[in-house]
Amino acid sequence: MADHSGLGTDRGALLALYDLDAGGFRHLDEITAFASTLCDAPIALVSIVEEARQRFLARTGLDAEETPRDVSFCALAMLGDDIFVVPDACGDPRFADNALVTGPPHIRFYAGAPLIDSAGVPLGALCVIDTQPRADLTPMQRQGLTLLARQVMVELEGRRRDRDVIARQRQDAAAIADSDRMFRTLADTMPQMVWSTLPDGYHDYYNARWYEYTGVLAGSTDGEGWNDMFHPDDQERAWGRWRKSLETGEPYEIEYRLRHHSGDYRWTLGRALPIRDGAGTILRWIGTCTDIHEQKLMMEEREMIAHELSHRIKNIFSVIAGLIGLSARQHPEIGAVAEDLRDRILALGRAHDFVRPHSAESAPQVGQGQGLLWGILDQIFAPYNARDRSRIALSGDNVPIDDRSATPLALLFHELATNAAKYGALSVPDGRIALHIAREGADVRIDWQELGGPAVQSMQPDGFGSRLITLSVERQLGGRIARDWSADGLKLSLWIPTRSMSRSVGTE
Amino acid sequence: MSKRVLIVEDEIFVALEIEQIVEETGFDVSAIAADRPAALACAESCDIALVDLNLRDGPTGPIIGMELASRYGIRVIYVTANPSQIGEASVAALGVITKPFRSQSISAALQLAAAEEPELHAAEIAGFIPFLQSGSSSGLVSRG
Repeated sequence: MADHSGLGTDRGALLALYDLDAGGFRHLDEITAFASTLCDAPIALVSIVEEARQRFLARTGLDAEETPRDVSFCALAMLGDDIFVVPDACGDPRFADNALVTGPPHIRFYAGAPLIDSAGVPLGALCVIDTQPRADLTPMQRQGLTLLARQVMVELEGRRRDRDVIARQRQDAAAIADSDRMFRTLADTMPQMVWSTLPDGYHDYYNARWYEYTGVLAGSTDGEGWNDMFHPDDQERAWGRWRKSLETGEPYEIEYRLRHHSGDYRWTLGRALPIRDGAGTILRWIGTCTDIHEQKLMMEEREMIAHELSHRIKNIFSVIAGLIGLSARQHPEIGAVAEDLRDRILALGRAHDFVRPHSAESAPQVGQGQGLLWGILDQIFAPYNARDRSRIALSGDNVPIDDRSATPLALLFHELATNAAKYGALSVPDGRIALHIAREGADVRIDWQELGGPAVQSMQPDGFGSRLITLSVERQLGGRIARDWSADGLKLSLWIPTRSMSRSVGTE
Repeated sequence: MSKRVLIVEDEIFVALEIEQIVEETGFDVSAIAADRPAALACAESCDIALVDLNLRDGPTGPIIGMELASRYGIRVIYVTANPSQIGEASVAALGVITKPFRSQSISAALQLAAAEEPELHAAEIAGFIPFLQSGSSSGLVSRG
């Protein structure tokens, strides 16, 4: 017993968990009052045994708040499992000399129920004391005292739990503060402007870079104030795009001009993504603004140069055609040949314009079929289809082409259309051509069918034009060709390898 | 007296080729203009104008066509690879010759323009798209 088992050096730390110094154990006073009555004893105490003393958390019939541990009865009582009874301290060699026995409060009878926590560690005892010796408590008093001791522990454990909760809350708050500090540090050291909004789009955060760039007062662009920072011509577009993202949850992305603190507007890339909870509900939007002014200007310059270059190339085709026309007029004997050559060169010019690299600004409008076979066919057939788009009617698949196939394809269909205009279906008002395109294995099959034209002569009307067609299909595109002069008109089938039509498709 | 034709075209070799076609058709070329100021400066002395869209001073063809037609009563025919670029300016013109053009297209269109009452409905000229308009004494109004 003297080794005070269960009273190791961590006892101070253990007891600290109960926050005993905070006081406020009003319910314990009621318990000692009742224990005193129940056991018909003048003194009842809730005693907690510490390293050097025992302290009374609640007491009835005693003024002292604590006593030294070495005179403690409870230090012994708490070590047992059951109620510890000293019938007469004066006759007990362990206590006969005890200061609490020889002096006030003159203990003769002592009965203590141990206070043991949920982990089995004894904290102290609930005890009753009489100044008269007794044999024992009655069974009901023992039962009652045991029950009350348990109730004392309920109170103490409750205090400990409260303390744990408070401690955890403090920890959580500290963790959140840490994480918040980390986010702000990260956001403020980013080269981009960073902002955040509530799910309804209310801006409630901007990083330091935003204020540094715009030069506005902190907080002055909260809510919807950000929109005023945009160039007047971009405000409505940005609002529209942002509102759409808020409604649909789609990522926000837009280029606009943002007012710099110098007063200049600089091109900026704005992006934002929603943060969602486990159920997919949007909790926040986090966005960035990136200054892309220099890149934008560079792109515009590049675009201008590309446009200018392409225009010049186009002009060169026109000039060559003009030169051929002028030359031919000096030599009327080559007039017909020159006219054909001139038209071929202009067809190549169209092909060039169709497949040259385009930027978003210079690209023909969607629907013009940039980079697709139908698109270049529209270009080549434009003079024939100008009044009646069904004169050369396209059907079937639309397949990708590239700059390499554009030249032979332009020549090929130019020759076919020219021949049709000179000798075939396009040489009479009611003639028409059905052009069907279909993928067939590794090839693209193209069927050219002339209808309603003059009676077909089974001889080739234009030897060189026909040769150009064969060269383009077989030698340049690596395809094959089948001609059939039926009574209805020329029927021509081509098989061109898909990889010859477009390199990017061929390598897939 | 034969009709006088203004050629508004900034590529000299293309313009010279058109000039030859005009002369072969039996008309006179009053001037070749490469931009808007030059075109308007020559406007007084001509009856018909062949107008390219993209000129030395930019895509000014459509507005030149409108001015020549409304202020000088000139019959305008556009000559371009991009007919869609004409837009509203088609109101003032007889039609458009698509580039690449054949000399016959230019000749036939010129003869049409030289007629007292150009019969656009009857015009069947390869490479020429007539703008269908109801004639009036001062200008031409689009029907479509």
